[in-house]
Amino acid sequence: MRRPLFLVLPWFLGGVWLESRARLLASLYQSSLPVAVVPWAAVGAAAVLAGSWAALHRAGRQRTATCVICGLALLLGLQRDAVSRYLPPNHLAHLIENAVVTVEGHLYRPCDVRRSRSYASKHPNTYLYVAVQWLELDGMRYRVQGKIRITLLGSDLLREERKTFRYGDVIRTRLRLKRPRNLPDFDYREYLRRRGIYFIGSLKHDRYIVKLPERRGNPWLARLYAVRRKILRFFARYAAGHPEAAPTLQVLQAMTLGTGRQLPAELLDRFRNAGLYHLLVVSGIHVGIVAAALHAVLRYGGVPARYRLWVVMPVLLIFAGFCGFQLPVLRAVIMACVLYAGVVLHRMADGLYSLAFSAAVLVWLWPGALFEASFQMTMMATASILMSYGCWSRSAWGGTILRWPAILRIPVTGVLMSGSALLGIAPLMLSYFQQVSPYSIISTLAAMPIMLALLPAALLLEACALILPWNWLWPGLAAAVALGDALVALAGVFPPVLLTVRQLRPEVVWLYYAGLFGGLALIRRRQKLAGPKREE
Amino acid sequence: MVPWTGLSPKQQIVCVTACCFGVLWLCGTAWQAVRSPLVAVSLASSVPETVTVLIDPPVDVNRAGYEELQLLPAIGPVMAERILRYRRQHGPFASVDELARIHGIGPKTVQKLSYYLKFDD
Repeated sequence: MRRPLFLVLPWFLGGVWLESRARLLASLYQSSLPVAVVPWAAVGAAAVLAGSWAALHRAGRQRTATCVICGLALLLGLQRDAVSRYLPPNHLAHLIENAVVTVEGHLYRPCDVRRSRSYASKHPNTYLYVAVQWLELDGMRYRVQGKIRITLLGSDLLREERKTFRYGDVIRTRLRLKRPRNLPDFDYREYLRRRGIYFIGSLKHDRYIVKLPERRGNPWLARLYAVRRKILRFFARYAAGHPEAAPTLQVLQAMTLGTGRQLPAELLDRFRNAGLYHLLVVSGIHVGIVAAALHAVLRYGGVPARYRLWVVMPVLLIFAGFCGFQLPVLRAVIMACVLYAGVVLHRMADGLYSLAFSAAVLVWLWPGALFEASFQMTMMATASILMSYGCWSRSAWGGTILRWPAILRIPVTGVLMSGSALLGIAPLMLSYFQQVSPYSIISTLAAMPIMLALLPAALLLEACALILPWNWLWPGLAAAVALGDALVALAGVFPPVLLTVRQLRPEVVWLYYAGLFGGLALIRRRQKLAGPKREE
Repeated sequence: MVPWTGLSPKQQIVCVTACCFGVLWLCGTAWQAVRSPLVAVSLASSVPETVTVLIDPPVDVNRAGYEELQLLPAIGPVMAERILRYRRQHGPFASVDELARIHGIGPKTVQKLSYYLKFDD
């Protein structure tokens, strides 16, 4: 077997899934057993499995030994999810349920400015994500751990008279903390729990928050976010002189810095109706452009292939940081790094294998990611594109398309890839949102020429904004805004028709994917078997 | 049809090592979490200085500028400006109660501020 990850990964993911549903180990952690017993019991189970594997391996029973490895991967998945759910004795959740408390902690990620769904809402809410270190309750001051989210209602951080909150700032405030409320059709509490947030609170004004004169957090991340703020200031400076360009600039920021949630609801709905919402999410295409541009520059500069890797990988990671380490970006960055390393070091460079590797890394780091819509959609869309491409590019008609001149090949390939991506995400969209745009393929194809010019231009401008005087860049930004206006206008061309369906049951979604990927794998296998015969 | 032979010995060793290392790392993480004690300090301590330090680094209201005053709870730009104006007109504050003479600062705000202020000579 050439690719062990394809065998081990499903067992690991299965373990995470099983633990999240059945809470096998989590219930042991919460049982009357001494809690320290459970981690050592897991080590014992792993030791037994490893010992069994060693015996089978020595006896030459490789197939049975491989099955034991699958069991070990399952145990790893179970343990990973259980550990992520375990709350230590000094966690906030053991002290409060719904209480007015004083908390002190640092902002562990940059503030998130989100607009409400109301079109008339002028001032967006600001979300502060706080890793709490101290909690004061009933005359006692507790050293605790745990994350909370504070909503500054109707605030706008761009207004100068307000306090600014940055990553690493240590704050102190008094507010009512309560568990998040679930929505009728959405488990919001679980959604926040996956991010480690167990309590939320809100404040009407930032004057109730005291900024303490100290900083915590990672200094490298602080520098990264400072650079990101500089780019945002670059856009804000231009918007101050050209208020009419502000919505388009927000679209540019969403496409390059992952600030899509700050967009006004009207604009978001326009893109959603046109089936162009995915353009506002930083994903593989963005990472691909950055990687390709870097590769070209380094190659032109005469940098040897193996050293290029050490430039491309950190830059891509920094780019992921600019976008707030969102799951689709991280997926694309990990995939790009693995693929690029494979190509540069003359090792195996397989898209599907790098996708599996990125899934393993992301679920290992954040087990809850497995249940996130964004993670599932980005994985399924990419898998569908890669597997479909593997099939049609080796067929007779696919080979003909690939030999066409670029002016014909690129749009046709674009349609095929958009169609493949839609095949991959359609059941998830129907399952999560019960809506799908009928124009998705056409609108994506129409937007492609604009995107191909707009994205590199916007990314280049942002890179230049870090080193060049900003007034040199205004003409370039004006051109990018004109392209962005064209994109916004294109999104407005399509009448607001969304196909609304009933929510798909999970079994149907599983069956669909089994059919889709099983069918594609079968076609691919037949092509491989037919290949040698054709040559004969 | 090629029979399934399982992973090669080298791949098996890599997978087993990775899984065992992963389980051990997770157990270490869980062990560390389990042993995180809940430490508490009484706010009604008999040593007020200690408590003050624990609550917040105090702000010297007679030296603080416009920005620093706004770090205090219930003090925004307008109140900060009023405090500065009062200080210019009447000299330094002798005690926290003197703040109550400023328009917009009531007894509740004074009580809230008392934890965060110091009055150096």
